[in-house]
Amino acid sequence: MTTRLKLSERWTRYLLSQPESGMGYQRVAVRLKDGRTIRPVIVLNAELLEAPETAGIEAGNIVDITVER
Amino acid sequence: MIRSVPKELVHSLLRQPETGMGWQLVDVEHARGTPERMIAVNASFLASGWSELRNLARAEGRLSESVLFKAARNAAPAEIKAIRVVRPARMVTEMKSRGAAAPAPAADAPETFTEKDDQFRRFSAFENDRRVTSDNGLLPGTYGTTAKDADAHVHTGMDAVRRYALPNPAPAKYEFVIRPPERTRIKEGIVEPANNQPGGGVEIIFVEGSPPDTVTRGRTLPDT
Repeated sequence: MTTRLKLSERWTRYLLSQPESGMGYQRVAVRLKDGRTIRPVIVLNAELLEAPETAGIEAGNIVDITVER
Repeated sequence: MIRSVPKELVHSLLRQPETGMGWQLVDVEHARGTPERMIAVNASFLASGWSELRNLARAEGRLSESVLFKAARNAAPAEIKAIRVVRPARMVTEMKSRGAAAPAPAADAPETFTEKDDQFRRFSAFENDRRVTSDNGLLPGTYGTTAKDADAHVHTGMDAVRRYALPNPAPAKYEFVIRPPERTRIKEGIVEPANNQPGGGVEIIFVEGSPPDTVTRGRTLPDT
């Protein structure tokens, strides 16, 4: 199952400063507070993050997002 | 017949990207007659194709600048109005239709420039597309497609999902029309299959975005 998460405006602003990976989306790596890095993760329209539910990504435990090719 | 590139057009060729190392695939617009697709070598010489260059190399034992110069000296001066490098997406589309080597995505393409009156499209599942700025421009690194590709192949939101291999399965039904000024920096390529979608559309990256007042809302397409 995939979960869809709305990113905070801070991350959206950051993602808007980065190039897209394709029309309307970015492929990113997400680093979490517990040290794990989840990749690849898709972000739609610089604001909606889609990841497997099992990855355990929540808005409050994202430490870093990096756009990947 | 090998010809020299007219002196006044050398600079124009040097401002355009190479197709391969040391050569450019070009469309030559003659003062009279129909346009001709040719190979430009070192922005200095024009040949009708690689076979002509290979024959010359075979006859002379090498293909140096002096050999090309000598061959071009025997040709009547060409009356050429303009020379344009065939842009990568156009080239790869033609290669693809001939079943030649796999075309490359835009991210791997050399930078080129838009031409006067070029038009592009962008499709989104979101009416408030965040890459379109509040002053109706595009942010750097934003993707689009050519108007020609969109108009020929995208009639529904799901057409856009398939053709541009979008990961969001929601129909990309909101169309944005992009009219950038001449010489806007872009990269052109072909969408690779991804996200369980076939791809195959032309993709454009607006390297530095597009300036204010160049983006308008287009059609709202049916979902399917």
